[in-house]
Amino acid sequence: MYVQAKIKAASGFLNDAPPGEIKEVYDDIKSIVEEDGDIIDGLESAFENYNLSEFVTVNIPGAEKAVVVSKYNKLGSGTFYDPELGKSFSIDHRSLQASGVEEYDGAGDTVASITSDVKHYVLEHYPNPSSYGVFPQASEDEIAIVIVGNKYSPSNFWNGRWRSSYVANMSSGSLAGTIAIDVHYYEDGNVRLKSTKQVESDFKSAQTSSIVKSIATLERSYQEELNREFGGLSDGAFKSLRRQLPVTRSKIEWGKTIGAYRLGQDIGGGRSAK
Amino acid sequence: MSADPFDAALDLLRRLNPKDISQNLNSICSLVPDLTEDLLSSVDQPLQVKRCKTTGKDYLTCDYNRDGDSFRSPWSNEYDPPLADGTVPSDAIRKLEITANDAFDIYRDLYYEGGLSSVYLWELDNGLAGVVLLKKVSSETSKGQGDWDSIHVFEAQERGRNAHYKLTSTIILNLVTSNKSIGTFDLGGNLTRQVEQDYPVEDETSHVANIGKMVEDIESKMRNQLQEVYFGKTKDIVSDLRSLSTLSAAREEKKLQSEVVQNLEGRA
Repeated sequence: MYVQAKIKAASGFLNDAPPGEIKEVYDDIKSIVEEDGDIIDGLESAFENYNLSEFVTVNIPGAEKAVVVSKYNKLGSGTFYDPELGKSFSIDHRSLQASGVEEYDGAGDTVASITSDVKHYVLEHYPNPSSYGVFPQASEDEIAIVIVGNKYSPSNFWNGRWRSSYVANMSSGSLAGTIAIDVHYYEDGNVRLKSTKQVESDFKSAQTSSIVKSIATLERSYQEELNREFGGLSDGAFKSLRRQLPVTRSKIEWGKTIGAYRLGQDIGGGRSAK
Repeated sequence: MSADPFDAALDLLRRLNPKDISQNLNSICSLVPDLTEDLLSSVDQPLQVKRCKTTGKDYLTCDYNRDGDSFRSPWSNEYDPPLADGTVPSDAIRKLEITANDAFDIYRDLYYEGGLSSVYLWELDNGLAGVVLLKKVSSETSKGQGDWDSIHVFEAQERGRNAHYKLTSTIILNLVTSNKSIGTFDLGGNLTRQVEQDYPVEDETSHVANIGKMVEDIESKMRNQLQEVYFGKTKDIVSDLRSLSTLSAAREEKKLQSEVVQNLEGRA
C-alpha cells in the first residue's frame, strides 16, 4: 500500500472520531502504524478538516470564552477571527494551541447585536462547555452563526456533541442551516447516534433580534422531533425485530420435545423461514 | 510509550462509528496486513446471507464457517465455492449440529417471526464449541428500518455428568430513519455480554437444550439493555446537550423547590 493510501485510511479514522475522543483515536492510529513518521505527518489536513467541521473550541490567552473554529471565521490557513473578542489568532490544528493573537476589527453594530442575542440564547439552552460565534461573511449580506455544545463523560463511557450553523441573509431575511448531533456510548459495546437535518426559516430583516428567535424555534422543534423519533423507533422498527416473549407468553421448553412447537405450528398454519 | 498495534486496533474499532465496522476493519488490515487473521477472528461484523446451492435455503456466514474464501452451509454441510479439503465436523458433531439447527430454527420462528438462523459446531479436547447466529431485517416503514444480528459464541467443557458453559454474546442493532421531518437519524451499534454456567448433561443432545436456555436468557436480557441504551440513555444524553426549557427557568424552579424544603424543615 502506498503512503498516500495509508494517509487516506488513517485520515478517515480521525475524521470519524467521536466527540471528545480525537486524542484516543490519534493515539490508536499512531500505535497501529507503529509511529510511521510519513503517515503521522500526513494527517495534518485531516486534523484541520476535523476541527473545522466539528466546531472545535480553542482557548485564546486572555479571553473569557473558548473560541469556535469553523470555515465561517477562517481567514487563512490556520488563522481565524472572532469579532466578539476583536481578535484574530493562529492555531496548530494538532495541538489546538493558539498563538499570534492580534487585534481584529472587522465587524459592525449588527454583528455585535446578533452576538449578544446568541450569547444569551446559548447560556439559556446549552448547559455544558458550549460556545458560539457570529461571523460576517465575504458576501456583505451574509452573517454566519455557529453554536456548539459538548458534554464529555468518559468515566461513564459516553460523550456527545450538538452542532448547529446558520447563514442569515440580511437583505432577503432568509435563514438556512444544519443541525447535527453525535452521541457515543461505549460501555461493553459501541453505540453511536448520528443525526443531521437541514433547516430553513425566515426572519424580519429589519429586526436583528428575530434571527435568534427563528433559530430558537428551529432548534426546539428539531429537538422535539428527535424525542418523538426515539419513541417511534422503539415502538416501530425495534419491536418488529425480536419479541420479548413468544406468542405463547412463556419461555421455550427446550429438550427433546422442542419439535412439538413445530407440530403445533403446522396445525395453526404458522410462519416458516424464508 | 506506544500500545500494541492489535490492542490499539480493537480500541479504535470500539470508538469509530460501529456502522462502518467492516469498512474500518478492512482499512486497518490494509494498513497492517499482519493483523488480518487475528482481527477477523476477534471482531464481530454484521452477518452476511448466502444461499445453499444444494438445498436452496439461506444461511448466515461468519468467520466460524469460513475456510479460505468458502463458506460451509449448515443445511448441506458443503462448502461454497466447493473445497476438496474443507474442514468439516466429525459425524457425531455434525449430527448434533443438525439437531441444533432444527432447535434454533424453532427458537427463531417463536421470537423473530421471520429472519434467519444458523448454528455451527466444532470439537474441543474436552467438549465442544459453537456459534449460534440469528439475523432479522425489518421492512422499511415510515417508522424506520432496523437490522438485528445476534452472534453467540460458546464453549462447553464436560466435567463428569455436568458441563461448564461459557457464552459470549454480541448483538448488533442498527436503526435508521430518513425523512423530511427528522432529516437523517442513524442509531446503531453493538453490545457484548458474557455469562458462564454449569448444567447437567444426560447425553449429547443436552448441550442443545442447555445452550438454548442460555441464549434465550441472554437475548432477553440484552434486548432490555439495548432498549435502555438506545432509547433511554442516548435520548438522555441529547437532552443533556441542549436543554428544552431555559436554564434560568430550571434554576428558578430548583430554587423554589429548595425553599419549599427549607420551609418544611423549618416547620418540623
